Amino acid sequence: MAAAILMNARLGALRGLNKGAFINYAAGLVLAIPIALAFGRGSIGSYAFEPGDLIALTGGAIGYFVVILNNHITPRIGIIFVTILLFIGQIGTGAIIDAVRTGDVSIGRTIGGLLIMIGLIYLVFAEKSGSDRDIT
Amino acid sequence: MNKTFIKNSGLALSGGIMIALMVTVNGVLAARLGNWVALVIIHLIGLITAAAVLIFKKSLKDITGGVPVKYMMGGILGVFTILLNNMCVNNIGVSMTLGLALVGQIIASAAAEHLGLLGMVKKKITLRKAPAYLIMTAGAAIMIIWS
Repeated sequence: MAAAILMNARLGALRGLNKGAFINYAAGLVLAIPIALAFGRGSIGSYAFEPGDLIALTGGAIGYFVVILNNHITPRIGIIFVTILLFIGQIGTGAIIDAVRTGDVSIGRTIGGLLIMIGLIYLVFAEKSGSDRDIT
Repeated sequence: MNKTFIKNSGLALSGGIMIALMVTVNGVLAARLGNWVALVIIHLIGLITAAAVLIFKKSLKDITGGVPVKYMMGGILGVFTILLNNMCVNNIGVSMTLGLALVGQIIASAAAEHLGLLGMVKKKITLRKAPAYLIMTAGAAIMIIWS
């Protein structure tokens, strides 16, 4: 994922955000189609579409708007706050969705999520201070 | 703290909420259609959305503009990210999928910077940052062991 983000950032800088996103999805589709044909033949054509499934189709579009949003806010509030706030939004919403789906709140996931969040905040501020001592 | 900062911070939080919703709906699609077909549909809809924006902005001309093939690797790697997210979210849930993905992403980024991979400026892993990696790894371990 880290390598993908880096490559997408370079692509966006070269061709602009919208064209970069288009190339990104086109390249992905070029790979996804043969993969689906090779591994997913059994599941193709055996699907009965229901109107309620429309919401499940929105993931690709949401992904596009997340990229646009990130590129809009990052220059305005900085990558440090964007990283922290994005993760808080993700993990908080993820915990709520998990609780709704399973009807249970996992203590392990909550404590683990909080620790990851604390580690992330620590890391971004250590990065910001920029007065590191090398250990190598 | 000015109004612009508060507004953009709210947008960043919204971005995080959107990512969690995206992973969830992609997982629902994968559960309904299977991982492989869902993978194609997710990319197709992303491509249609991007094309619609380009048509709206009348900037369909010269989309690739001689971009080196290596910069298309982001889209290629993104296929595997979406595939793995879809495989995980229906088994271990949204918060664990996103939490573990973030830890993996940060460790991979740190390793790439430390070694100067992919043309990145070399940035050594330092003592100052070590506790952050340890805390995040502990969080990931607790998520895995205690779930």
